[in-house]
Amino acid sequence: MKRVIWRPYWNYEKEEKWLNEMAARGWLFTDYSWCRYVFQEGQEGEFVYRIELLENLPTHPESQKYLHFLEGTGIDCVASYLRWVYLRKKSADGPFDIYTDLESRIAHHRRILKYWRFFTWLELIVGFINLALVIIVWFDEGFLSNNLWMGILLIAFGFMFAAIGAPVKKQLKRWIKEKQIRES
Amino acid sequence: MPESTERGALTEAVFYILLSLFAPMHGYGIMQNVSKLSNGRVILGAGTLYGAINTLLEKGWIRSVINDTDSRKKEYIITEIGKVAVENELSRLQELLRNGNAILGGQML
Repeated sequence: MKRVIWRPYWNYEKEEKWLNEMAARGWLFTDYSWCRYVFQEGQEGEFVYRIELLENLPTHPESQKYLHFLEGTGIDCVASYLRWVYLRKKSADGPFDIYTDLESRIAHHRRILKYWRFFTWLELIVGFINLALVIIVWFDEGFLSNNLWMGILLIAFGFMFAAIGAPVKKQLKRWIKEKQIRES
Repeated sequence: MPESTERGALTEAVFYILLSLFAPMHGYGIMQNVSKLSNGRVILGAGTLYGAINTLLEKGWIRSVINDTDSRKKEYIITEIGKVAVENELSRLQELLRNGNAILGGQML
């Protein structure tokens, strides 16, 4: 049996937790497209899921090399979205964490923070361009209300992405501090 | 004998990876071996291991073994420079042990 659930997630750790809770109840995650999760009915707790942000798109040769390596350790990539990959491993094959020391965890979270920062700046810049356009054109050709609303909306999105990045940054800072005294 | 210019502590993961590679081994083999060596205390994540392998390859501390039977499971082995790094680390750890035991030995043990 197949089940499709629509749900927005902006925290990959919460998303991961949810996928694992579904798997524990026998709903195995098999596919993802924007906010859309597909589950197949299967054995309860058969798989553990992890989500990772790659450095490149999954189709990039470097990513292919990495995913190939993961395959050799019993980890399969079930779905991907932009640079995000959804990985799973059979629970019977032992514990499953992608990163097990502070250094590699820090590197992964730096990547995630950079990802959200990109969207933050993109939205803010395009937003402000829209607002500037409204002001520039106002005197000559009248008021562009569409651009005004677009500008406000994009800036709001910019702040939203900044808010998504904030907890990632907080955890990153904690780990960097922790790394001064221990390594894992 | 090639001399390693690196001083400073190795991470636990790197130390155990290098120890494992005194015999040729592929990625999954290293993960299992490290877990066995440490009685299940050190579990290496595949992402952490992949990063460490690439760094060690770049440094020339390990090299890949040409193995044409199955390219999927690439095997690695420690190099002479890598062995020197392990020896340096071992004497560093022995110093830590000596000093730790000397101070705690009288009071706690």
